[in-house]
Amino acid sequence: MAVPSRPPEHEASIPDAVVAACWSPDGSMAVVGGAGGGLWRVDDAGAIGGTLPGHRDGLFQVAWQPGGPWAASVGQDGHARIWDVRRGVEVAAIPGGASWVEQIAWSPSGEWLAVGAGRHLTLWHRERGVAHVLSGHRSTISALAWRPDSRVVGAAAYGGVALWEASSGASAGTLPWKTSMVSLAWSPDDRWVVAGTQDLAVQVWPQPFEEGGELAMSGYPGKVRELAWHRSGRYLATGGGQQVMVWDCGGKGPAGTTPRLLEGHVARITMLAYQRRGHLLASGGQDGLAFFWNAGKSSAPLRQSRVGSLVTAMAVSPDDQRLLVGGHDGRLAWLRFPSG
Amino acid sequence: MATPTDTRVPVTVLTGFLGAGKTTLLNRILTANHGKRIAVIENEFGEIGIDNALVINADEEIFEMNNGCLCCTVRGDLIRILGQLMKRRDRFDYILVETTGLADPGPVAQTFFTDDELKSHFRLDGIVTVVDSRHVALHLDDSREAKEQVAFADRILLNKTDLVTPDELDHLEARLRAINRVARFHRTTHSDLDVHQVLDIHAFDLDHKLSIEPGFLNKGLPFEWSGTFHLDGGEHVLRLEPGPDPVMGVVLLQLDQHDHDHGHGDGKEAGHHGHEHCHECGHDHGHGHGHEHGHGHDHDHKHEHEHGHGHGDDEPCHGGLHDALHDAEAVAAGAFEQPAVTVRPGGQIRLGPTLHKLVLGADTSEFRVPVPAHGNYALFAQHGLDEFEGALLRGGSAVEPGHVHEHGGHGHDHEHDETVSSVGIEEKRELDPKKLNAWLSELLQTKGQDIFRMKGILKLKGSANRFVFQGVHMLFEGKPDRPWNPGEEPKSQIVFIGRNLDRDALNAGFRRCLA
Repeated sequence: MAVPSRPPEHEASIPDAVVAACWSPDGSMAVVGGAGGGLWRVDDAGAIGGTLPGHRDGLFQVAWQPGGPWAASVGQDGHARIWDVRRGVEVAAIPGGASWVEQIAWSPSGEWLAVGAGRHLTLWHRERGVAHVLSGHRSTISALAWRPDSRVVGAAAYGGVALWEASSGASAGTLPWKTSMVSLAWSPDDRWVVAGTQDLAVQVWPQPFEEGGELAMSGYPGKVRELAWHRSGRYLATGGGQQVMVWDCGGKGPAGTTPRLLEGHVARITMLAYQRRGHLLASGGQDGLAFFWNAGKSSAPLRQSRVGSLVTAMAVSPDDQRLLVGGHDGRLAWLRFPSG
Repeated sequence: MATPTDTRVPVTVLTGFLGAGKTTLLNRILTANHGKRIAVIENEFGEIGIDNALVINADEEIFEMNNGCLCCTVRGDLIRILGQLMKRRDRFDYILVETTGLADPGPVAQTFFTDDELKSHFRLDGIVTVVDSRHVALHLDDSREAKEQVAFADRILLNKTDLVTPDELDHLEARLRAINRVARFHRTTHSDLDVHQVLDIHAFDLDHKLSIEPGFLNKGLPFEWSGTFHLDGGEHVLRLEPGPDPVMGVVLLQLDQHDHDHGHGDGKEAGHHGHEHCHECGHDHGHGHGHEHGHGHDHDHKHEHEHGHGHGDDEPCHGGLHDALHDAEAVAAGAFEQPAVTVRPGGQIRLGPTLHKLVLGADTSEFRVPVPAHGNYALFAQHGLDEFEGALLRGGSAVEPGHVHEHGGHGHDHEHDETVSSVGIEEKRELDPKKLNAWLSELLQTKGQDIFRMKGILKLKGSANRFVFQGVHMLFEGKPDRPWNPGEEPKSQIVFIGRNLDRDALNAGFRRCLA
């Protein structure tokens, strides 16, 4: 059966490979980061509205402050930078402690920004500035994730996920794992922390964690960089290959269960995102396709859109209606979610 | 594996102890006029200041892998950094990784065997080890890493040659060759060499070009003397007096000149000293030419040391011709294994990979050598030419050789008692693929930790094609290759480089795999 297809509502492009994109909380604009270091402001009708200074040499991530006016970005100039996007000015520059600052995560409350660079984790508070610089990670921090209550942040490095209490900077324990991780996600219901690992598996630590309680889900063809939680915390969508694997983490959890396989992509999946309040999942891949799924109900895609080159960024609008997709060739596409 | 359409970005790893000259080599590569856009990953603080290169400083991070492969370690920093570089639209043409002086090259190599994502965008081109000729002996004695850096290398730069005597250098090279019999050696001062000798060398490719350097068997080369001659077209004569052997085997080859573009004339650009230059020094400062007897080493580069200071720009003569000679040794070694043509005095020595057995008279013997065109040639002789007062003449006057290598017979003169060494095996009979597979699997499971590198070209029963393989520790890849070429003798060649290798056990294990 042919998958319904729909072209993008708007299209635009930036003169660089897109590496990250995020929406403003009111949905009126988005910020797009280019691999070379530039930041572009785009409105919701696909018009480029200006640039921000960005980062010399290169940029890794950009993320909008939940509920706030700022966006934070990190790159190869040794700093995390906070931008007042509307005014186009830099609000703060936070030294990361290494020349490459690769990881960034806002607490869901918008109060804290966690910055990972090399083996250092810097916790920056929106009023107090740098509150803690935390070290002791066994390797460069490879991923960050906040507990839904915004009190604890996890930093993945070789040997495990270090948990830190934001207010005090005290250790809140470790989620151990013997190798390194490439992605990290905390379930919205605070039942699970999950990570994609270097050895092609998804590692799961039930919360609160007790030693020996972890489980691993293996059998992925590639490293699982793509992790997305359904808002309920029941479903975990994972990439790592051409198929999306959706695990049902309800009840006793995913142990011993079989994931639902979503087939449609013809090349490796690169991005996964759930709606913020709805049930729909969006995926993007190296095939330049984006798919929309209602994975709780069906393995068949609801719709597909051709967006051009390799998908390298995806962001769901705050109203759950639109999906902004960025590509390696600099293309931007605004897609509309199906009605589900 | 590389194909003509392989668009993956090559990665060269530079190893060597602190102060050996890695950073100097790196700067030389970055400033050489190759038109490449290079990214450098540095694990050691170096003084690099090149505008058109991206320099990334990172700590070396060793990760143990858990994918069912025991004790496999990879370099987490490389995986992460190369992963980020993949996202950029401005593509780099080349990646250089400068490791710390104490780095173990194993994890770097294993990274490129195990990480599929990396493998799809990057290919490990080769491992280049820079050695401080003056101080490396000390490091070899008390450092595991120094031995491993030599053992893993595809290219070894004997650097700072100006700080040691020619004899010391010969001893050093013999010692390093006992550790690694397949690396190619370059003698340098200030890490100065043609960058093409260390870049794009495809040392980890499993393809039709895979070959194993001659001399991988410890028996050495089948000829004791080789030398280059710059000749004009026309009739030449090889004159030999009676010597220790009534028969002398020789092979004459033309040297390939593909990899050099000269013509700048100023000789100042890094790595642009070439044939003409070396040829000039061979003629203008014509003393010695390596006629003193060697010490039984594999290579006596007399020519280089004796002329090292004869140049106006005070840079040693090196490079293209020397390497062309080295390449030709493989061909000549093959020819020496083939049936020979017997030639009596007055007969003719023809150009090409054919062994001529010169039957010497009771008196002076002369053999005709027609040279088709002006160019560089190499003569390979079973015995040292000086033992026969040998000379190549044109119009009655001797043409002096350029580079001369004296190869130390078949002895094991300088086999140091190294814990790290190479074991080469050669076999003309066919192998049973199943037995071989079982043997290698067991070997790698039990000894993989101690086997740093291995390479092989195999003659398997039931196949008209070569089978090629290579590996690092217990990671291994192999595939059927092209058919044997006409004129190429089908035979199996394997070389292991590792720690505490049991030569007899390896040989015995291998022979049990005969079909």
